[in-house]
Amino acid sequence: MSGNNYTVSCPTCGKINTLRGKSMTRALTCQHCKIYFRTGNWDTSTVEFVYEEPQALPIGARGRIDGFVYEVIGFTIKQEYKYHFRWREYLVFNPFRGYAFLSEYNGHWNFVWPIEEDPLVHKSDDTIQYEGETFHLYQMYSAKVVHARGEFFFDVFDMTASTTNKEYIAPPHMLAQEKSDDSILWCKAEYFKPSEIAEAFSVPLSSLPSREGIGYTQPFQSQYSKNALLIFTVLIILFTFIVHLTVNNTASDKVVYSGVFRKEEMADQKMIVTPSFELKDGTKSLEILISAPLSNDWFFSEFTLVNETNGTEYNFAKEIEYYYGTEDGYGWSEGSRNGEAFLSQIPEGKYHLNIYPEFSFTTDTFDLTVKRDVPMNANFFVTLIGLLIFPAFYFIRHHYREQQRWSESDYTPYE
Amino acid sequence: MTPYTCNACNATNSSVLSKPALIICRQCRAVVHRDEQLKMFELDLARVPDDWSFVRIGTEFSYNNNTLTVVGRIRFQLRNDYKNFWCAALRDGAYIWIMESFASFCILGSTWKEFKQSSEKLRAGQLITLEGNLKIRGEYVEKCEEVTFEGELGLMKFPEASFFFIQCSNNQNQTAVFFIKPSYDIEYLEGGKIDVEKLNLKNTVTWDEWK
Repeated sequence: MSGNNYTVSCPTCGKINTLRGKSMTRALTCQHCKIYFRTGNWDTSTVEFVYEEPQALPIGARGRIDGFVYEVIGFTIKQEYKYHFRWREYLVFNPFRGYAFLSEYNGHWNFVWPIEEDPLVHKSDDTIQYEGETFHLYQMYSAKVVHARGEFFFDVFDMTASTTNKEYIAPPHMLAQEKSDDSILWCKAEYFKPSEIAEAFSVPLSSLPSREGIGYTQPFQSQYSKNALLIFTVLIILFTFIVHLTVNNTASDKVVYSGVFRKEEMADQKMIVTPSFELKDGTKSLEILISAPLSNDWFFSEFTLVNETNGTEYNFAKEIEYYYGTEDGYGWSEGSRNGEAFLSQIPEGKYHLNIYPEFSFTTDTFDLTVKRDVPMNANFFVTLIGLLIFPAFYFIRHHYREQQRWSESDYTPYE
Repeated sequence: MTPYTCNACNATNSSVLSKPALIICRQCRAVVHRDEQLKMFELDLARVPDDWSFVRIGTEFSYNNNTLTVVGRIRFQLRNDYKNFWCAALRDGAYIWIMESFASFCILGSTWKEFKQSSEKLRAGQLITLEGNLKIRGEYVEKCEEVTFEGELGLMKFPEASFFFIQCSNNQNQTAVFFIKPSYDIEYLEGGKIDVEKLNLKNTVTWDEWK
């Protein structure tokens, strides 16, 4: 700051301190002996801080935030009483904007500025509606200053000790209330990435504390809002369902061949050749239904669908088995006497089936039905699962990260 | 404009207020004029300490379709804050106060009102009701440690330190500032908080190094 000759003498070392904040500075640490004292006459005691931590932004550092140049005036390390969390607060100042704070905890930064309104007017239970956002109570605490450097526009040591704090979050924002018998101060805060702080104050990113865990106001880096994705997911399910219904309703589900085959009719033949059947209307699905009168037995067959025009063959196999009995007085059954094979893209043409059945000792007959253009439930479910993978991943990740965010809160909704 | 000659340095101080309560000589800082109501007080005539306010004597602004000019300042040094009460003159010689602190602004009227309720009600967080069913809540209580003056001023009933300063407001930006001093009536000024952008300030201190 230039043009400033406002000075005070340190009550401990007697040396002169030129105040960056001019007469607005109400407390400071001596630039020479580091003792904390007030410029007013209501409290002439001093405080010596023993605890120390590196300071990422030096006193006097300037940075541009929201288009305004802020200068670091003071720095404190505060410690919460109950869990002994420590965080760092930088008091920053601009004559045209007043003062604000940059708060840093575990490498996560919040820009905190005083607001004129009383958000509690819109409070219900532990939530506050403010400027279109819902803020949830995250923490309530008391703290003390364990380290201070620079200047302060208020007695930060005394005020921190005499106030209780409540913080409500709606990432990336926060509302913070600092309350004592003599004052109520509301601040709003916004999350800043370390890279944004480094860029604003022209310091290397490596000089800032590394981020650990999820910051309590840290937004998720996503192009999608939770609500938008939820709406999109519901719409996509509806759309898929409507398409499925439409396709199924227009499917002809027509039987193009059916027959009954017996083992004795085969004599020494290994293969049954069905009569020819016509598949029409372009490329469509084909379903082969197999049924056998199984009783604690199985039936297996290989099939070849042969296009009689161009010789194309479609090979598939099917095994069905059905077992039942009684155990400890309770009846049970397993498997089915019916099975089906599904061929999705079969061009029109004249076809027949070559069947290579394997009969067991007790089963000597089976039925076969060939249907053209059948409804495809499996396609619907496969499509649906495919479409839901991303939203499911998003919501699971979101839930996990929200749990992490609230892990240090006494008011977590995730217990 | 009414001229007032300083008895100490013979400088002429022009007054634009129709009823100035205090005029501090712009040249030697002596009291040029003092209203009868202020004669009982020991005024601190020390120079107003430097601060980072961008309002100054001569600053013009718009309010309620009026153009006002700042003609003087009373600066209250509170324990944990400060309040600059800028006296702003209307063209007809009337005045209002602009209360400013850390770029936060309030417009206050010049009419003093007596608070007849108990001082116990003036606490942070307490809801009080004033005349006209004005409901406001206590924001802070601060003790004033120093009062300094400059320029031409309207009536400030508490020109000496050692009073308690209380601000109460509501979410409609209505506000009132109360002055409590033992053996005095509790008096207050009413007004409203206002965004500085709405004042359309001119002739301010530019503080170029902050741009």
